[in-house]
Amino acid sequence: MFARLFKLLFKRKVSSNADVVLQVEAKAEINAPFEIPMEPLPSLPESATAEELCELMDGMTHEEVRAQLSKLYRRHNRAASSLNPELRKQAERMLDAIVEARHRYLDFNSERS
Amino acid sequence: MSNHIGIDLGTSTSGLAYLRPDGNPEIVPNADGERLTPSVVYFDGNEEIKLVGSAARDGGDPDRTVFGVKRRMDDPDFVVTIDGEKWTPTEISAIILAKLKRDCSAILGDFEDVVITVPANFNELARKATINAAKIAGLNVLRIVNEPTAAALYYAHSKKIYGKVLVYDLGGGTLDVTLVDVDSSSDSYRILLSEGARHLGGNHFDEEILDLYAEQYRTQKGGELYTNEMERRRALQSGEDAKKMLSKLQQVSGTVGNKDRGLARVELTRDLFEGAIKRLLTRTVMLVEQALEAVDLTPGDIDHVVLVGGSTRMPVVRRTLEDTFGFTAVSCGNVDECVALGAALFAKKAAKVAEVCNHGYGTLALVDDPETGKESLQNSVVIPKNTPLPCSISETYATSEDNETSIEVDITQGEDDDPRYVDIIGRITLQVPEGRPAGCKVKVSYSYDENQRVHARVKDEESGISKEIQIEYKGEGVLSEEEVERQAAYLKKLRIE
Repeated sequence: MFARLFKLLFKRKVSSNADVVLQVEAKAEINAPFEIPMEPLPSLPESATAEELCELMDGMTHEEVRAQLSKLYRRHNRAASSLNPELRKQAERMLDAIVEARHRYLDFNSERS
Repeated sequence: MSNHIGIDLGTSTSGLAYLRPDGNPEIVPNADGERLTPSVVYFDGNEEIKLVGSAARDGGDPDRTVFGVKRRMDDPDFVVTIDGEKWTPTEISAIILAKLKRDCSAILGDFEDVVITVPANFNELARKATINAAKIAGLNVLRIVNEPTAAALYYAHSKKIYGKVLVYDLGGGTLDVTLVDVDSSSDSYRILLSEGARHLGGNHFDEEILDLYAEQYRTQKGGELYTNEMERRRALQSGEDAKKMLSKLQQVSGTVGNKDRGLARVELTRDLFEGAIKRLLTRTVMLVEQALEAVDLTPGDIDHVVLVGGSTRMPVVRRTLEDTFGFTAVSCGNVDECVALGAALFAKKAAKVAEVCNHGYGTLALVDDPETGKESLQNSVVIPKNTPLPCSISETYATSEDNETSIEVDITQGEDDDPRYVDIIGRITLQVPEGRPAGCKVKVSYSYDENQRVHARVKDEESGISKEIQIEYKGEGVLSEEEVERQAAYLKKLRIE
């Protein structure tokens, strides 16, 4: 687990006037050009199968598959209402893949049941 | 005039209810004699008039007709352009609300104070847009309440039930699952959790039927069922009608087509339809499972499953839930009206309802993993989703480098650890004195009000410098406060029928 009380703030150094004490109402705007160096979203190749997209591996038990799909569903259901259109689009594809994998691996009478 | 008025501003239809003197809510019909008003606006090209409701939905040019704008309330960049004029989702919703206000005032007398419902999964932007739409329409929003909460209130009130109630609200555009603990002795309602799924509702089932029709048409006619928006909407309406019939019949047939290629006879069985929507239904089941897991409950812990929203009329929805819970889900009276009715009840009983926040908020932080010794950028949640409202929670962080003079705190919305899967909805920058070592403590506090609006505060503990903000959104589809005022004045003069 991660340390809880002493996390390190992500910050950038910028020029500033340290004499000004700020105690004012301000507005944060969501389309501000936040420059945050993050890894890009993983690419989802057109040819990728539901199993590949959901990272399901041979030998996984039903419970492991269920847990993996549940974790992915939580992430991508939330991402489907993101403010980021690229993320929303990717989330919809992932949700389809998650459901397809569930039908195949977990449904009653499915291929793997 | 009633002091307790609730409005369900829905994706497909909207309704207004008031609380009668006997304490029971009642729907107020619009001037067209309808209990519910289709959430459709028609912008006429000849007269300075905006039609709202059935008249707007059933005729006219599709390029001048706006449907389902509620689905775009959380899109900061969405606008509709008609005759060169841009209309935001807020303004279009305001026209619908203005129609309800004007029509219902004729029966109730003039009023301003209302409770308005929103889907549980509406984000900060969409909630604020809804409040602004009401302002433009001349309404004062006393409270925003989640639709399933309103429905649960109405169900518990009308059926006199108590215990753990799961509300399954499958509307035109979204699915909300809410768990409510109803205490009969104190007539209080504690929301345990709300989970939502966007783009999962009746409209999406209609789209599946449209695909089935298009395939049959192609086979028979060798061409496309629709090549423009007007043709598509007509076919979609036929599909919606068929869907409703399939809730009662095993098979329906009809004709669809267009001027160029003619009509074709299409057949649809309930089995075919249910097969086509299976993947969407599975998504709804996964949302129910996610909701139960989040509060460590199992289906056996639930006392009642209450159905809300027009799409719950489909037998397959009821069957699916029965398979999950092992008992029959019950309908919340009239599934289309119970949200508005519950909103009117909420206007009176708000103090007895304890709600939870529907989104988690946090900040981006560099976090050490003690197992690997590696440092990575993560989303650190300060207010977890489903924390009881109102709430205020703080988390202390520390600067990472010597001599920092500017501390930037990013405000995130979402619960995922991975920052790529959350929204960064704001930033607070604190200017602090020079020459300080790394490790200076900074307190990040979030508070969440009853309307699910979030406020953030950052305080540098050493210098005492602090800054507080309320999140504001920018984009072509977002109105400034000045624009809201201006549009409110404009709408007063506008002919809306």
